[in-house]
Amino acid sequence: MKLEHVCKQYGSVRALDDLTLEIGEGAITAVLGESGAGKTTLLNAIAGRISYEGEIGGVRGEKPRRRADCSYLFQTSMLLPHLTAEGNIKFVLPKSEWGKIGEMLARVGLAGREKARPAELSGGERRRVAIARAFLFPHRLLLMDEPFSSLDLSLKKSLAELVVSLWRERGDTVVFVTHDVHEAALLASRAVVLKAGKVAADLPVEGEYPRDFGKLSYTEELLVRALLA
Amino acid sequence: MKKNLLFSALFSALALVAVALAWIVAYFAAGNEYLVPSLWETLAETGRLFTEAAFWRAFGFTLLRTALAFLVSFALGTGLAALASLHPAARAFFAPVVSVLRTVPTMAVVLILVLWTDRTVAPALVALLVLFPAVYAAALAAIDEVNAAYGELPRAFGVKAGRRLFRMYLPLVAPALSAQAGAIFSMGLKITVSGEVLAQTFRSLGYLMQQSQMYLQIPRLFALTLLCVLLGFLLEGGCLLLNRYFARWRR
Repeated sequence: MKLEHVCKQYGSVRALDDLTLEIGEGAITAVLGESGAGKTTLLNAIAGRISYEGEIGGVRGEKPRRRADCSYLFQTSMLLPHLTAEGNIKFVLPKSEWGKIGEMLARVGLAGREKARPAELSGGERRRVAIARAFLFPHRLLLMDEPFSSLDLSLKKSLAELVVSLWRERGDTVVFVTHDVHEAALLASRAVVLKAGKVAADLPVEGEYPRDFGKLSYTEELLVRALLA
Repeated sequence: MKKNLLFSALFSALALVAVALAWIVAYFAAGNEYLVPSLWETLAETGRLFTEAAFWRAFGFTLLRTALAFLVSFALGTGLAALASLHPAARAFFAPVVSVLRTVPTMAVVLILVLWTDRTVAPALVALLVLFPAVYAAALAAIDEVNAAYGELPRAFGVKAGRRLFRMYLPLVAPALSAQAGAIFSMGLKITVSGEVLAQTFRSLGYLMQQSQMYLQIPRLFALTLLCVLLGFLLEGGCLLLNRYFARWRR
């Protein structure tokens, strides 16, 4: 997917400044940056949730138009409290896909927890339901907005491994925004660093999956340098 | 749980006993049956009211007016709140209308409505106009809360309107609304009876109250007031049961 000369202005702030970028098919692309760098604006523009100047995937963005082929993993689990784990997935899924829910819940380690409500699930289990929902929803592009930002390190690692294994099975195109270099190094095959709405660095992220924090010092160092430059 | 319920029931009963004691003290302190009638005489009058066909007719019509005002205000309030949550323009349009309805003096509205409409209709209309802003504000607050917490979810996944309404909005908004429905219904009863007194609506509790005051039947006036309070309790209890039903239904 190509992003060509994408601009977005909020008042006097230029959130995206003539941004041109190609997102590789079947890759996990991390978009890194500090607060206000334009990460979430970029994600919202790709999703068609905001208007923008320029073209994304051949679509001009004069008017916000939701991309039907996008799935999402939000910053929070965003599960409806009155629905079960299964019900929460059914809520967003077309009826034709309901038959796959049980298998996917088992795949993310929630076999037998289908009828549990969010309040009966741990924080990690709730994230797993959200991951199952994001991967089950029919899509070509999976967008993740700081998906593990509020989690502790061990949970972050296990959920990142789950996302990577599901991605490898399905070969989805994934774009995720984060301000966490470790998260990018753990998940991404490529990292784009944004600064003031522009691409400040575009780096491949080396390393075989599953990755570990300790083995990524070189990549992390490059990303930190790009962020601080 | 059972112990807690017993504890609450005991303290509620104690509160009722305290009110009864305060009444008895006020009766002896006033020493005038026309100012404060005795509790016993009032209770006896309450019993007598139950045997009068005129009372039941008045009771039925007052309840009907209150229920109609409540139902229409609920339908109108939630419907317009839903519209306001969808369109900022609608929200901006309704805001001053609701503010005016909230601040306009109830008695003035009754007097105007008596001129414009029928004495039997005016109290219900007044109750409707008073209840509507309360329902609208409660419904809009509940919808806004759901939107703030979960609004992004159906938008992002393109969930169809019917599923959004029945699987997300209704189950999340209904408990918040039904929790307030009891208080709103009782307020409706209070406004309806006030309207009936002022409009002198024939066949109404307000009319019976006004007649009792006019003919100095003070125990009867107190008995009618007591019955209105009891009716308010019953309405709030009914709404509490409805709330429990919603809690079960949304599962």
